[in-house]
Amino acid sequence: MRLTKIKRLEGTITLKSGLHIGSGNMEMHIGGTDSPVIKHPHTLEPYIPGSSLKGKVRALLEMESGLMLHTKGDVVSSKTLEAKEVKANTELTDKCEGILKVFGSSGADREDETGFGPTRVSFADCYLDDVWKNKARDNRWLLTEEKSENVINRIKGTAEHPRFIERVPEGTVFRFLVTFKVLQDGDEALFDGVLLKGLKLLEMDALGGSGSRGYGRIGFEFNDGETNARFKTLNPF
Amino acid sequence: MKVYEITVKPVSGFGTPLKGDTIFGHFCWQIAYDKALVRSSIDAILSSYHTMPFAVFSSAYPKLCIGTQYHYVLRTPSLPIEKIFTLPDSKCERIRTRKAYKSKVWMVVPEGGKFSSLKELEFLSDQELLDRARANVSEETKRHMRRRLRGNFTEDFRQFHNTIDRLTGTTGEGRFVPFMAEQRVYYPETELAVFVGIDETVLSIEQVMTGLQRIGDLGFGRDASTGCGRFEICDECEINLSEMGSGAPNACYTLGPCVPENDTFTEMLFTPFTRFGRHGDVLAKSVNPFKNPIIMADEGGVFKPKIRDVFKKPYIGSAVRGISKAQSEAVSQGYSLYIPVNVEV
Repeated sequence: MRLTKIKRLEGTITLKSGLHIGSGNMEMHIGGTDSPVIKHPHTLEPYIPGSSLKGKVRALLEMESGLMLHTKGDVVSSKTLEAKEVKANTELTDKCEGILKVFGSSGADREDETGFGPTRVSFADCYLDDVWKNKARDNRWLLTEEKSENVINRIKGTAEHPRFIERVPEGTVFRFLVTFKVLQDGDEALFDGVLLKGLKLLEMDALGGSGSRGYGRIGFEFNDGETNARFKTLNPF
Repeated sequence: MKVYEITVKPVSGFGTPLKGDTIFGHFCWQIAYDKALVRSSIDAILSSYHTMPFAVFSSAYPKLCIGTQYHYVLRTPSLPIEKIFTLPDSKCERIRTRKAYKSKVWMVVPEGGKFSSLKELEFLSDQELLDRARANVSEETKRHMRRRLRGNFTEDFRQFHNTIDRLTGTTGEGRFVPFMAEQRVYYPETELAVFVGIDETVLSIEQVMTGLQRIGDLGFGRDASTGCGRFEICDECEINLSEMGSGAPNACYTLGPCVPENDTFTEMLFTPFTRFGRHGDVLAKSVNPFKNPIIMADEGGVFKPKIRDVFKKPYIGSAVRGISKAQSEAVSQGYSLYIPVNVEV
């Protein structure tokens, strides 16, 4: 195992709909929203944590692989490879190994006898794109918006439980950077077959909370034209 | 051994503080994965580490431009307050000022400037450092930060995480309960100085820069694959730490955690720091990824040597072996670079 290359995926993420990645803030501010989005502690600008991207991409790849039936919804680990049905199915084994190599297995797993090596991918936090930020400042656009929501009483047909959810508005542009370590033969194939496929699945699904209600639709734009063209035509199924 | 200063720019929060021993550990993994980096294997390079270290990394310290000159913002030495500050005679005033001085955790050392006594230097609290940093940023950042008058130079920020249940697509109970992880975020546009002493017969500063650049790209410490520990390398320059301190030194002020040698020092004033080390990379998945704890003297320690020969080398301390059950050859950096100082202890 030897580090032969560090591949970089750089570009922008454009929000196609409002994005809500909650901060889990327990504090109530006077006039504040019920559910604020995560913000940089110094600049108070919203950002997309690398953990949100990595977690959602991995979850979608595991859903696509069908491995979740053997993990009962839990995260795929090296223990999953020992399941009878997975062992007997080479396609499932390959998908499981690919996910474990790219996204890593937790320290709670058994010893790394598999020789998979360390986690290949590393997602950086995505901060606001400087060009977009200047445009937002010039146009006096707000960096977050409030969306009110409620529940309809099915008998009266009236609104109940009103709440205010903070979102990053549609059109906001973030910079992203993903690095990928090429350590073994076959890792280059995982870059396209697992990582790019996962990003495509994310583009087709949603990031952050309330994805089934229209939140969190995003579009990737890669700096590298060739990768961009490949990504646009990629069919993950 | 030549000593260099490398300027790095944090571009994310840090789950693990940038301390000398952990930077050394990360650099060793870079050598382990790429033999071409130093044209030698990690085993070969570590074979003589306990007698002659090939590299000694300091912890990372903020570097600020105050007025027209750059200053390093180091940890206040672990000395009794009266050895650093001049206290008033009145007992009442003395108690009051002691409290104020205790909050001054940062020591400002001008770049290339000599000082004969620590009392000549300026000491700052975290809030005062924030004010200096604020005055130092670009107009653009100043405008962004104009409503943020309170806070700290490094904010301890709690970020929530959760695991998605692959069957329901939601968070929930048990394994899927949201949890919190803390990270430390520097003030925008902060630059940090990392001092590194290298044995140029083994590796060059360019190789160190390449290794550090890779660490910065891939992430340093905890939660590196999910955004923490990113930094950019700005530049490097050779530096002589002995020219920074006192011309007539009698003690060493350490720039990183260290394990001092036996029978070398008459006085040792430091804050104990226990490193509960844990293997990174593939060994994080070994049966026993946890290293034996090491009690170290945290950065900012002051060590008064018995003999002046100690000042011939730019570092003090020793290598710590026998720390791991998973990797018997594992070694921890117990060495530290130092600034020679003159203190009355």
